Order: sequence, then C-alpha cells, then structure tokens
Amino acid sequence: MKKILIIEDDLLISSLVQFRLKKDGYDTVLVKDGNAGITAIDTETLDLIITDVMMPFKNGIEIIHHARKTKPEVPIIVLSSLGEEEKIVLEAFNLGVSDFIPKPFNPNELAIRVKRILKS
Amino acid sequence: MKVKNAVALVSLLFLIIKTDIVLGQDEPVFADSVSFANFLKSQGKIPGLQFRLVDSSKAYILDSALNRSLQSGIVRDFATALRLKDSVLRSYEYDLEIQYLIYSDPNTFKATQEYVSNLLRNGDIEPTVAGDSNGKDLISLASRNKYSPFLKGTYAYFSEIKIFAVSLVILLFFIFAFSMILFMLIFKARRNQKEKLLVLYDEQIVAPLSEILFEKTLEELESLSDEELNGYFPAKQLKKPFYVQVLVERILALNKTMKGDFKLMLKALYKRLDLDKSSLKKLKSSKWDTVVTGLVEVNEMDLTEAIYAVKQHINSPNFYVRSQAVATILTLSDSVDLSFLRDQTFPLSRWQQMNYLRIIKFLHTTRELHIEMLFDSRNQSIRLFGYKLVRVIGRVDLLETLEEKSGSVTEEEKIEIIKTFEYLGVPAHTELINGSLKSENIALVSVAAKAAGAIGDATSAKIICELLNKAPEFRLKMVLLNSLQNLDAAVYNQFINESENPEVMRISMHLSDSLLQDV
Repeated sequence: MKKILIIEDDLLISSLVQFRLKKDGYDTVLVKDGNAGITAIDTETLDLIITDVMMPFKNGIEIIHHARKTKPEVPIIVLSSLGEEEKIVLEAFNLGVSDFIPKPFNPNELAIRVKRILKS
Repeated sequence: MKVKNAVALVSLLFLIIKTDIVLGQDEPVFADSVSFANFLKSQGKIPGLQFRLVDSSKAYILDSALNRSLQSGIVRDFATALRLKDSVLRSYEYDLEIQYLIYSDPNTFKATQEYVSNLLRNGDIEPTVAGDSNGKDLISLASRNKYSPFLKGTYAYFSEIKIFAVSLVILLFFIFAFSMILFMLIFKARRNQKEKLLVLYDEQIVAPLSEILFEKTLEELESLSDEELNGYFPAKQLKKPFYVQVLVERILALNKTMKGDFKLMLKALYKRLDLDKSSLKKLKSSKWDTVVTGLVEVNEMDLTEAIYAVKQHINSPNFYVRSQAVATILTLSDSVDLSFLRDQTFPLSRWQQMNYLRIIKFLHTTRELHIEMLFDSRNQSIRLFGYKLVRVIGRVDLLETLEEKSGSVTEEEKIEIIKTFEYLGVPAHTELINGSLKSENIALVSVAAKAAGAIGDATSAKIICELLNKAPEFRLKMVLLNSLQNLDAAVYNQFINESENPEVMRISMHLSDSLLQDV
C-alpha cells in the first residue's frame, strides 16, 4: 500500500483529503505543522508528500528543501492559495515539486493527480 | 577572666539602665505626707498593709479598752488605727505611735507611702473617691483613675472619618481585586471548556461531513430522511448553539476551500440541517456583530430566500451591517439593480467603494445593473462612486449621459467626470474641459489641464497659455506645460521661446530630457 504524508494545519481540509485518499486505498500520515512534517519525512517510508505552504514553525518551502535533500525520489504536491503565495509557489516549482493545486480545490481532482503521479 | 569581667560589666550596665527606667517611672503619686495620710484615712483597707500601736520601746499595745478582738494588736485600716490612738490618749494619756506593717513586716512611713504609690500605679487598688471631693483636686483624682476611651469599639472606629475612608478604599480595592481574579478564573475556565468542546465538536463533525461529501451524491443527500441525517449529526447535538456554531463555521470554511460539486453539496447540507433558519434568525438580532455574521452566512451559502430580510439592513446606521448588507444583496439577487444603492443616505467610504466595486466588476457582464441610476442620487458620494464605476468597468456608452450631467454638478464631481473622460480617452464636450480650466478651483484646473493634454482642443491650448502667463504656482505650471506639450507641440515651443521666466525654462528642460520626463 502506497503511503502519503499530508502536511496541513487546517484540520478540516487535511481530514477531508485523508478521507478521500483512504477511499482510494492509500495509507496516509497526517501532521499539522512544519516541524512534525520534517520529523515524518525523516522517519516514515513515503511514496508522496502533499504539503501546504503557510504553516506554523516551518513553511512548505523549508519542507520541500528538506525533502529534496533527504528523499529526492519522493514526489511532492503543493496544495495552497496561489493568490497570496504566488512567489513562493514559483520557488517551489524551481525546487522540483511535481504538482501545484491552488485553493479552492476539488478533492476528486487532487485524487486523480495523486493517482497519476504515483503511477508514473 | 576577661570574659567574666565583660559579662559583669554588661550586667552592671543593664542594671543601671533598668534602674533608670524604673526611676524614670517613679512619678510621685502623693504630693506630701499629709495627702498620703488623708488617702490612707479615706481608702480603708489596703492589701498587704496593716497598722498597730506601739509605745516608744516599739512594744505593741492591745486594745482591750475598746473590746476589739485584735490579733497581736493589728488593725487593717488606717482610720481605725487613728481612732485607737486617740482613744488611748484620751483614756490613759498615753501617746502611742502607729507602726506600718507591710506583709507583717514593720516599715517606715516613707516606705509605706512608696508601697501604696506602687499599688496605685500598677492599678492594684482603686482610689476611693469621696462624695464631697468635687472641686478640690480633680486633676489628681483623675490621674488616679485608669484611662478608658469615651467611645468604644466600632463606634469609635466610625467616628474617625479619615480612618474610615482609608479602610473603605482598602476594602474596595480588595473587593475589586478579588472580583477581577474571580472573573479571570471564570473566564479562563469557560474558555478552556469552549476550547475542549471545539476540539470535541470538530472531531464529531469532520468524519460525518467527509462521509456525506464523498459517499453521497447531491440527490442522495437531498432525499435523506431526518432519521438518516441524525445518524450523521445527532438531533440532540443540533439543539446545542455552540455545536451549531462550529458546524456552520466548518461548512462555511469548506465552502471557501472547495470547488465544483462540493459547493452544491455543502449548500444542500446547510439547508437540510436547517442551518439556514439559524442564519435568518441572526439577521433579526439586536447585536450588530450577530447581524453581520448572519449576513456573511446568507451571502456565502446563497440563501436567496433571505433577500427581503437583508434589504432591511441596507440603510442601517451601523457601517459594517450596511456594507455587508449591500455586498450580500449585490451577490445574491439576480434581478436587483443599483436603485437601493442610489437611495442610501450615508456617505460611501473608500473601503465600501472598493468592496462594492469588486462585486460589481464581477457582476456587470452578466447582469444589467443600471449604473446610470447612481448619477441621480441625492448623496454626492454615491454619484461620485457612479462616475468611478463608469471609468473602472469601461462603460463608454454612459459618457454622453455624464456629459449632459456635467453642466449641473459640483466641482468635485466635475473632477471625477473629467478623469473618466481622460481615462477612457474619449474627447469630452469642449465646455467641460475648457470651462473647468477657467475655474478658481486649483484641483479642478489641474485635472482639466491634465485631461486637456489628451482630449483637449485648440481653445484648450489657448487657455493654457493664458493661465501660464498669469504665473501660477509651480506644480500647476508644470502640469500646464506638460499638457500643452502633449496637446500642441508647436504652441508649446512658441510659448517656451517667447517666455523669459527662468522657472518655465527649467520645467521645459526637465520635460525635454528623455530621462527625466516621467519623473
């Protein structure tokens, strides 16, 4: 079973994403802040990381930096609001994230993108 | 040895000090021996003090003549001793002495006086005040009485207003401090309880919400029976206001984050759970913040049935209620035009204008809003907003109406109308620009001059030259020269060549410099 790490400080969104991905048969790890995200990247065996950008303690860019150093083979999807973080998102793409999904988003669309990335 | 000497010296010093203290306390109670004798006569029996009659050889005499049963010739009070002495003298012509016995030991008169004085000082005996002593020596009599305050206990306390006031302030301070601590404790306890409940309700809400959104279709959700729905969200919980509040907040937050069919699902769920009724109820609240919350909920969840209730708040005296009501009406209604805005009596703030503009900009392509209605408003800020709307959403078709209006509007409105013509690049009626150039209002002249550079004519150039010859202030001079340059380069060059004003030359050099012309 593929394991996906979800790093999102909004409990409601993270729970919905988790619910949707579990429905597709993925194993999920849910964390609420940047520090916990980095710990999970170091300790878990992951197939995909879904991360928000604006989060407590460490932002999404720092997490992407860390993931690229320690687990460069794991694909990353950024889930964030493009309007307020356009510059950061461009930086994330430069760091080699696999996809970017702006909020508001459709969880079904996210599930399709996850499936596509994990297949490839 | 030295230590012993030191101890002895300290002890001696202590004794001297102690003695001084004692001596210092020895205020004479009796002025002389006569007053002491009088005191003994009047006092009667004194504890530890006895008397007896003795002859010159100090042998005591029994009073058999008076038939008194005296033990060893001793009497307890001085008056009796005196009477015995007189009686012996009268009967036997035998003069006897009175001997003073303190605890049965013979003592001198002076020692007895000292002993009685100590008793009085220590309060061991109370002096007997004779009935006829009034007016004799009240001060000495008073000094023999123990002091006790006239007002005692609580009455004495309250009679001293300063102490009472200070005590009252201290008491109030403590009451206030305790009340504050109590209030903070209660507040903190309630907040903690609310936070715990929030976490609990979040857990209770997230799971069923996810299940409904991902497991059901819109049709299935709408056809759910009340019992089935209560399986997800218990009816008992839905009666709790805080649970309902958390549920509403979560649905609204999801509505903002989600897109596609999920939005429709959330709106359908909102109505199935009767949360729309709670939103409508909020619109009737007397608290403005609750009304605003209700308006936001109505707006977010597209509760079109609430339009009538929302309209009631359009002219609310509260700024936030009014702003949110207008924004909600604009978003919700498919048929509403801007007539409700035209009739507003309160001035529009910049923030409100920006807010309404954002909505109108989005709506005007799909709906006929009748922006021209705003030009007829009695409220100047609404009219100004109307002119700005024409400019921002590019309603060129309304420029003719604006031009017609321009003859009868205030100078502030003329400025907005001219800005609109200039922005859209459409030549205005020459009277609007040229007439404004002749105004006394510097701001209007400045705007008209700037517009003349883009949409002016030959008359405008002539008026600008006339204005420049009147030597206006520097900033206006700069605007006029810049406009003239844009409007007619030949006239501008001719004016510069003919001008001898060093300021005009400086501005001209600035404008002709390719690096500085936009600075």
